[in-house]
Parts: sequence; C-alpha cells; structure tokens
Amino acid sequence: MASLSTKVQAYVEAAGKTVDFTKDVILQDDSQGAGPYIKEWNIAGLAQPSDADLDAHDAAGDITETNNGVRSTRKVAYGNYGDQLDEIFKDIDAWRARIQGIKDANPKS
Amino acid sequence: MSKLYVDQVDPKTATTLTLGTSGDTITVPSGAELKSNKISPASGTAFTFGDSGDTFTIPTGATITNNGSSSGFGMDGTPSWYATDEAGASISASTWTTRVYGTEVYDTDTAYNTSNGTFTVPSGEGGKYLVMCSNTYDTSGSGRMLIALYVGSTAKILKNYAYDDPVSVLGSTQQCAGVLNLSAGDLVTARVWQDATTASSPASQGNENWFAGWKLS
Repeated sequence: MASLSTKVQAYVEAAGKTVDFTKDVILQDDSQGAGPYIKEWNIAGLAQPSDADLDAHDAAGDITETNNGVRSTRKVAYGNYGDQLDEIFKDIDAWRARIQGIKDANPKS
Repeated sequence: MSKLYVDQVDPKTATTLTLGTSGDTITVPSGAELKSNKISPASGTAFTFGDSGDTFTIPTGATITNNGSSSGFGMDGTPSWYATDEAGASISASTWTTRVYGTEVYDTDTAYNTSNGTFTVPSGEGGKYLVMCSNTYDTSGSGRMLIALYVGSTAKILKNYAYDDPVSVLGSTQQCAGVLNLSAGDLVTARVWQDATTASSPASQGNENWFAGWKLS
C-alpha cells in the first residue's frame, strides 16, 4: 500500500494541481499507532479527499514509490557528481556505458 | 548628649544582655564597624536584613558559603527532563511525526510522558524554558529534513535541513533548540518531517536521539 503522502500527491496531480506538503497539505502522525492523517487541507478549488478517493490512487501510488526507490538506487550507484565529472573528462563513452548499465539493471515500472 | 566610655558590657546576671527597649533604634554610625560571630532572630526563627530598596554588598574576595537550603537565589533548573530513543521509529514521507523518546534518563517533576513524547508544564511552573531535541536518520535519501519544537499544535522553533547527496545522508542528524515561554498545562513535543524517502528510520542510538529541557525562570 502506498504511503498517505504519495496517494495525496497522486490525487492532487490527477486534478491538475500541485501540492507542497509544508503548507498546502499538512500530514501528521501522533505516533500513537493510528498512522498518518490529514491535519490541514489548504488547496483552493479541490476538496479534501475521502478514504475512497485515496484508495483509488493506491495502485498509482505504489508504482510511484517503486520508481522512487529505483531512482534512489540508481542515484547511489551513479556516485557523486564530482567523481562523475572526472569520469566524463577521462572517458565519456565508458561513463555513458556504466550509467546505461545501471539503468538497465534497475528498470522503472 | 552624654557619652558612656567602657571597654566591655556584660550581663549583670545570667548570660542575657539587652540593649534598649522595644521601639528604640540602635545606630552604628557610618565608618564604625559592628563585629559579631553570629546573628540570630530575637524571637522565633525569621531574621530580616534591611528594608525594601536596600542594597547589601559582598566585597571582592569575600565568599558566601551556604551549608543549608536556599530559595529565591538564581535558578534551580527545574522542572527538567532528559529522554532518549533507544528503539528507533519509522517516519513517513511528508508527514509531521511526533518523536517519542521512550527512555527517560531523568524527569524531576514527572512531567515527561514516555508513551507519547510529551512534556506537560506542571501546575505553577509556567515560565521560560530552554528546550532542545535531536533526531538522526539511519536511511539514505535526498531531500528536506525538518525538525521542530511544538507547543500544542504550533511549531514554535523549526530547523530546516536539505540534503542532495544520497550517499552521505546516512547518519544525518538534525537538532533544534530554543527558549519557549510556556504556561502551566502547555504540551511540548519534538516533531520531524522528511521527504527524502518514502519512509525513513531514525537510528536507535540514545546519544543521537534525545529530547531535553529545563526551566530558566
């Protein structure tokens, strides 16, 4: 199951809007076992989603989170920017091949 | 005015000597010194120095030694508490999450709740408090990590950290501290927020995850 923030983001983007989770929508978890919930909803022109609305975006949210995980894995494998620039300077084709290998080994959904 | 010149005055009988009568004022003039090894209340147990507005000066090099108890001098630093998190937790993405520091190191007024991570200002203990918290993530990611001190549902002090190198985020620490003007019954919590990963796990080391505070005045 996708996290609440991912489902909210999918719901908002499906309506053609964007969300900033530091001001547009405030999610909160009181750490009492109930998990995250919507504390504030401040997006004008878009109603706060019901549980059914969010569940409708669960599958899309799962794909988003899977792909986010792939991006994170790829990013770590790419290495830091300075090393990559040095790699490109020395042999850009070898760098390109290495990056492609990482992408192939970690495909997105 | 007549003067009495004498080198010593002693009680005529027993050991009690009385100077003057109720309502009299005995004055030691400026420049004269009154020396005694002990001053005690004439009756009861209360002894008063001077009157409102008076100033008493302890000269440079002199020392006051207190072997008893005292009140009203400086601050005693209580209520105070210090709690750590030895268990770790999971912080959902983009969600303000209350950090529950479940291991109490000390809690002078039994005002910190290890079950919900809340310090409740005790009755009669409103005032200025220095409060601080620390949170360390054990997972890598790239994005923002916020940490804040909340009073009730309001973030009073907030620190914003940004990370853009997933390799070095491992073990990243956020800390937040500040002076809060609190009233009795106020609820103080430490909360964190991150959008670096879907769910990020704070480390379980108590020396990296802690919540503390004490009353200043």
